[in-house]
Order: sequence, then structure tokens, then C-alpha cells
Amino acid sequence: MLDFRGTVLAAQVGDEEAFARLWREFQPGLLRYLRIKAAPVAEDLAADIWLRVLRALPTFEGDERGFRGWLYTTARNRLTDWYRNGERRPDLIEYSSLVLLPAVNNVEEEAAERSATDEAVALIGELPPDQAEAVMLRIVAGMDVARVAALMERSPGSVRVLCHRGLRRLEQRLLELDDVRTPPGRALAGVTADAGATEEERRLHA
Amino acid sequence: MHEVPMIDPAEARGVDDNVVALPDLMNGRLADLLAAAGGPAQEQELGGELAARTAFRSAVQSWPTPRRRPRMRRGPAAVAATTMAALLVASTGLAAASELPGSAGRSVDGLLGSVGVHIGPTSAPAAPAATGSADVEAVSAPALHPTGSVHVGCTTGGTVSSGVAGTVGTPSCALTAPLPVRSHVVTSSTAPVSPRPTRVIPTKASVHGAGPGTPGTPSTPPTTLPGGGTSRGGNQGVGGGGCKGGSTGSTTTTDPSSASSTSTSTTDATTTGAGCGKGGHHHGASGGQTAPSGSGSDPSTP
Repeated sequence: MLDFRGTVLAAQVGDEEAFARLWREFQPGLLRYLRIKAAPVAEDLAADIWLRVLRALPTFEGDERGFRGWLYTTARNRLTDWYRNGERRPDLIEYSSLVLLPAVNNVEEEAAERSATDEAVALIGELPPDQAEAVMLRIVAGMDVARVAALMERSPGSVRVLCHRGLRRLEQRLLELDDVRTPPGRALAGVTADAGATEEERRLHA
Repeated sequence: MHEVPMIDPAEARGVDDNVVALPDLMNGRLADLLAAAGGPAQEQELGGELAARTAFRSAVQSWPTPRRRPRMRRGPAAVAATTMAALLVASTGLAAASELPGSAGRSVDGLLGSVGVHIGPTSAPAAPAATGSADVEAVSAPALHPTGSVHVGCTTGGTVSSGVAGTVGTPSCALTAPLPVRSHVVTSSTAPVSPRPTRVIPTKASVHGAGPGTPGTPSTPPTTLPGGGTSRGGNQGVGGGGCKGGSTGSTTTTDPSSASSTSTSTTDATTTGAGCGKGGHHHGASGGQTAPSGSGSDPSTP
């Protein structure tokens, strides 16, 4: 368990290991949140967000909830900047040049490597943006309703409704997936979808 | 006792239709999904740790160096010493202010008066020059109490000077100094204590008696003593510290040279003025003269 107070105090005086512990604690959730909002640039945005956090870290005062709220508020502001500045617009690439590009990934391997977490985040990402954000902040990041409401600039009731609708939709989506393919229960329980599957099943999934 | 109404099961059958079914977050597929979404970190998610450490190192260098202000911790001893020093300076200043010349003294008085401290007129006019033809030598003796003490009137602060050798000036209290008894002069003076202390410069011709003095009021009617006695009347307000306010003087004079003549005069004189002890000096005249005690009006009376 992370001793948050001591870790933050150590990081504030320049302890690199303490900051690394903080980073390892919060980076995964931050990255998942960014992946449902701006998947292509999630890594870059996360790095930029941590830079912003580092700039103001010496002046931070508060507990873990406060730090989490501060981190996600910074993330949301950065996302707003990203949307506002038009950074989301993809670069135009000549089609002819795409043909020449070598394939760097294998879909089958990618699917094999895809973990239950990725699948779950991908499913949440299929929700409408507000619902997805509310579910991520409320359920995954573990923030309380009031903080999520302040972050999303909505009322707490609105956040509850968004969460409820999002979860309902997720439930329906899972039922639909059950009808189509093998129940992803094993995968969502933390086991990779292909672990223990036969070659035939793997091909079927692909 | 409130009875819980029983609901017919047939009626309750349709209740569930109006209830929004909440998603089951504890069991089932959705719970697994949410647990997976908030699951432990994966390797690829922590791939940027080195870059984050580098960023942290560079950020730390840009952090402002915490400036430690020297804390002035004042212990109780230092506070006490400072307070004592301030009090010493203040009291010294006050004492010195009473010795200032007139204008400066008034300035200081005005300055300190704003904070409630009155030091009184520092240059109280000297004892009146005994306008009558008072015999200075005759009155140069202090007013003596039968017990042989000189009572120096007290005022509320300020310096009271006694013109008598052996007596001491004190800012706020009555002093009694033993002196040889001169029984032929008994002077007593009762007067309200002046709120403003006044310093009286002793002169040869002034005798500082007890209590605040009555500024110059010709308080004693001329007394002619039969038999050529000496009349020393109207020793009003000879108090060293007395300033203003009325005083009632009672003088009983016994002239040893005369047979037995006693003159008693009682005068109520109320005068308000800054000066004090001017007019009330005892100016006796011997030989049956009329003693114009008090030398007229108080020059310092506004």
C-alpha cells in the first residue's frame, strides 16, 4: 500500500523514487482514461499531463483523493486544449505512401496480447463520450460523485444518471457479445482471452 | 402501534414494472468488466517510467529553491527584556519630560496626552513673586504640622517638589519628612486632588505645604489683630503639588510676641487654572499689619 502522504512529501523535496511510486500508482488509470477520450495520443497527452503536474508538485497540499482529483482535472484541461487547438485532426497522408508502408503489427498477435483490461476499456470507450467519461472517472478511477461532477462541470445528479445509463448500456453490450462469441467472462476476470484456448478457438476469435 | 398494511400479492405483482433495475455491479459480467477496467497496471502502461523519471529530474532543477526565512523566535525572556527596556525608556522619557522647558513640555504633554498620559505643565510659573510686601524670611519656613512633619501634597502623578530641605519630591504620594517643630505655625490645607499634576518650582518665598494649593485668590480677609499681633492668614494653597481647584485654608496663627491673639480665617476659594500654588503663599506681615495673603489673581489662570 502506498503511503501517499510520505511519498508526496518525499517527491516534493526531489526524491525520484518517491515520484516513481506516485507515477506507477496513477499512470495506468490516467492512461486508460485518456484512451477513451483521445486514444491515438493518449501516451503523449499523459506525458504532457505529468509535466504539468511536476511543475506544480512542490505546492501541492492534500491527500490521495485530492491528488487524484488534481491529476484528472489537469488531464481534462489538457484534453480540452487538445480538442480546442485542433490537434485531434489527423494529418493527411497520401494514399500511395500508405501502400508502401510495411505492416508493423499482426492482428492475431495483437488480439492475443490484448488483455481483459484492454477489452474492458475498449468496451467502455464504445459508450457515448459523456457516459464513458462518467463511468471511467466514477467507477474506474474511483472518484466520488461530487468530484466527478465538478470535473465534468455537471450536477451530481447528472453524473449519477450518466453512470447509470452507461452501466446499463455496458450490460446490454455484454449480453450482445455473449450471443455472438464466447463469453468474455474469463477474459474480463483477468485472464487473456486466448489463454487456454485451442487453436481453433483462437482462429475463431480472430 | 402502527400496523404495516398488508399488500395483496396479486397487486404487488406489477410493482416491479415501475422499478428501474440497477445494474448488478457486484456479480456477473458487468462486475468483471469493471474490475478488469480498473485492474492492475500492465507492462505497456508503465513503459514510460524512464521518461517520467527524466522529466522529474529536469523539473526538480527548475523548482524554486525553498527560501528559508530566518525565523525570529522570541523567547519569553527576550520579550520580557524588551518590555522592560521599553518601560524604562518610557519612564525615563516621562521623567525627563517634566524637566523640559515650557514649550517643549507642553508639546510633550500634548503628545502624551493623546495616549492618556499627562505630565502636567513642565514650566509652571515660578511661585508668584509675592506681590505684597511679604516678608520672605517670614514665610520661608515650611508649613509645619504640629507633629513636626511636613506633608507634601500628592497629586496624580507628576513631580512634587518640596522646598524644604530634607523633603523629597515624589510623583504620586505624600511624604512626610520629620522636621523640627515650629509650633507657632499650623497650616493645613484641604483641597481636592488635582487630576493634573503640577510641578511647582520651589523658591525661596514659597513654602510647600500639604495638599494642592489654591491659586491666587485673595482668600484671607485682612485681619487685624488687636494688640499688634502677627497675622498670618490665608495660607491658601501652599501645597507643593496643588494646582487648581478650590481649597479651604484654615490658618491659626499664634504670635509669640503678642499676648494671645488668634486669627482664624476660612476661605473657600475655587479657582481653575493651570498654575498652582501661586497666590496662596503665606505672606505674613508682622506688627499688626494686614496680611494680604494671596497675592491677587493667579496669573496662570486662563
